[in-house]
Formats: sequence, structure tokens, C-alpha cells
Amino acid sequence: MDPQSIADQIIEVLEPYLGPNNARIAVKTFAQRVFKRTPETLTIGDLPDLLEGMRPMLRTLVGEDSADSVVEAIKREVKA
Amino acid sequence: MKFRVLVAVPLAWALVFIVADLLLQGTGGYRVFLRAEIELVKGLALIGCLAAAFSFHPGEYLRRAWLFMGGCMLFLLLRDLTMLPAIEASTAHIDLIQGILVVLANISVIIGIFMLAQAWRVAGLELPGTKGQRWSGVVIALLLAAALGGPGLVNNFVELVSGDASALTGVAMALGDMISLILIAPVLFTALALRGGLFGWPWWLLTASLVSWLLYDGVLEIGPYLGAGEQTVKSVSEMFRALACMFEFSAGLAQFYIVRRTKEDTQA
Repeated sequence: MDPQSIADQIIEVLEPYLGPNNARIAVKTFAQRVFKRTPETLTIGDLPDLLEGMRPMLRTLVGEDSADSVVEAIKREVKA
Repeated sequence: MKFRVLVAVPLAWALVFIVADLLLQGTGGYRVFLRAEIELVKGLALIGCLAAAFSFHPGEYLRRAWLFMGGCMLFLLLRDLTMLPAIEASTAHIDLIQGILVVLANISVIIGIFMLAQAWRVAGLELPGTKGQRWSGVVIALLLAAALGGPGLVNNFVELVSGDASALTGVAMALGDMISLILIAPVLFTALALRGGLFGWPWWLLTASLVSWLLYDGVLEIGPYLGAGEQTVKSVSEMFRALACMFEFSAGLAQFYIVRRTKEDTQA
């Protein structure tokens, strides 16, 4: 079985919160915005910068504490 | 917290209201019941908005949005306080004071709904559908708002211009209703964008609240033309007011629980 891509793993963590549609769009949007690349090309090394890019979006929706908590969960769950 | 409970509570409240309304119509306690119920749902809506607001840190975007939403209910409750006979009889320029409170309430809710409707943009999310589809939604909401709020706005404006200060309340309410109704479209699109996710719940419940206000206005404007009696129009419109306030209460509680649950779920 192929290992899940980095993008798919991030989407999996975000999906219960943002919904499947926006979780996918968010990863695509921020991959493009931060690295000017498609989500499929993301590597584990891109994770810190990607999450810093996504943090303001999460803070807007659930505030600083919960956003930081989601970011930490992604860092924990996503594996190379 | 089961979020479906937050949908069920307003519906159950409306059902109990209908039964109580039917039982109490024509009795001496009917006016007291109606007044108490109206103040109670406004109070609960205020509590919901404050719960949502204070789940965020000072300065955070949605804290401000929810405070503006709650500000509306606070100003309306203050206005209702001025309608107590003892206050009304002893206060000079009471019409003007009441009018100003209603204007402040409407400004507050318009800013609040506008901010909630713009949260997707501030967050950097994308809305579903094409630009054309989204504009079609806004145009439909605009037409509905004009049809339901327009006649009231024109009538009250004419009275205000002819020197009736009490018509200021009517102008502010009609204008506030119209703008709020137009904002149904972007609030609904935000809910659709977040569909299937926890974060979408406050927007779905807020959409239900705004649709209930739309129906409240609709019953008041169109009910008499459909042959509905005065009492029927009053009862049905009050049921929709209760639904609108209770869905706002639920939306605020949903926001509060989401902030808390997200933190709990994602902590190691």
C-alpha cells in the first residue's frame, strides 16, 4: 500500500474541522501561497512553513489557543 | 456536545411556544406571557453571543463579530426596558431614546453579521460555486429583502419626514432587517464552504436564525394580504421571532463549544 502523501495526511487532520471540501482547498491554497507549488509536491521539510502560513486562518476561525492546538496535532500526526 | 441538540432546542422552543400561545390566547395572562417570552429569547440570544465572544481572546476577529451580534440584543433589551410604563411615563423624549437604541441595535447587528459573513475572506478560505452563482444568491436575497422590508421602510420614512420621531424606530428596524437579510447569502455560502466540518455549525445556525427573521418579516408583511387574522399574524410572527433568537443562541453556543472542543480534541 502506498504511504499517504504529506498533503493527504494534513487534510485528514483538518477534515473534521474544516470539512472535506475546505480542508483540501486550504492545503492547496496555502501550498500555492507559501511555496507556489501544488500540494502533491509537499515534503515533510515544508511542514513548519506551511503550518505557519495556515495558522492565521485557524486563529480567525477558532482563536489562538485552539489554532495552536490544531497546528501541534498536525505536527504530531503527519509522518514522512 | 451533540450539535444536533442545538438545532432541536430552537425547534422545541417554537413548538412549546405555539402550544402555550394557543392555550393563553384571550386570557388575562396572554400579554405578560408574550412579553416575558420575547424578553427571554432576546436574553438567551445575548447569552449565546457573549459565550461565543468570550471563547476568543481580546482583539480576535470573531470575538469582535460576536460582541457586535450581542450588542444588538443588549440595545434591544434596553429599549424594551424603556417601554415599562413607569419609565415610559417619567422620561422626556422617550420616543427619541427608544429610536436611538433601535438604531444602535441595528448598526450593531449589521456589523456583526457582516463580520461573520466575511470570516472566510479574513481566514483566507474559498467559497464554493462560481462568482456568478454567489452573486445570484446575493441578488435573490436583495430582492427578498426589498420585497419584505421595502414597504415598511418607505412608510416609516414618510412618517419620520413628516415629523413623527417614533417612526425612527421603524426606519431603523426596516433598514436593519433589509441589510441583515441581504447578508443571508454570504453567511450561507460560508456554511456551505465549511460543510461537513465542525467549524461550519455556527454559520448553519446563524443562517437558520436569519431565515427565521426573513419569515418573521414575511408573515408581518404578507400575512394580512393572505387573509390571516390579526391574532394569527401575531402568533406566527412571534414564533418566527422566537426561532430567530433561539437559533442565534444556538449559533453562539456552537461557536463556544467548537473553540473548546477543537482544543480538547487536538491536545496530546
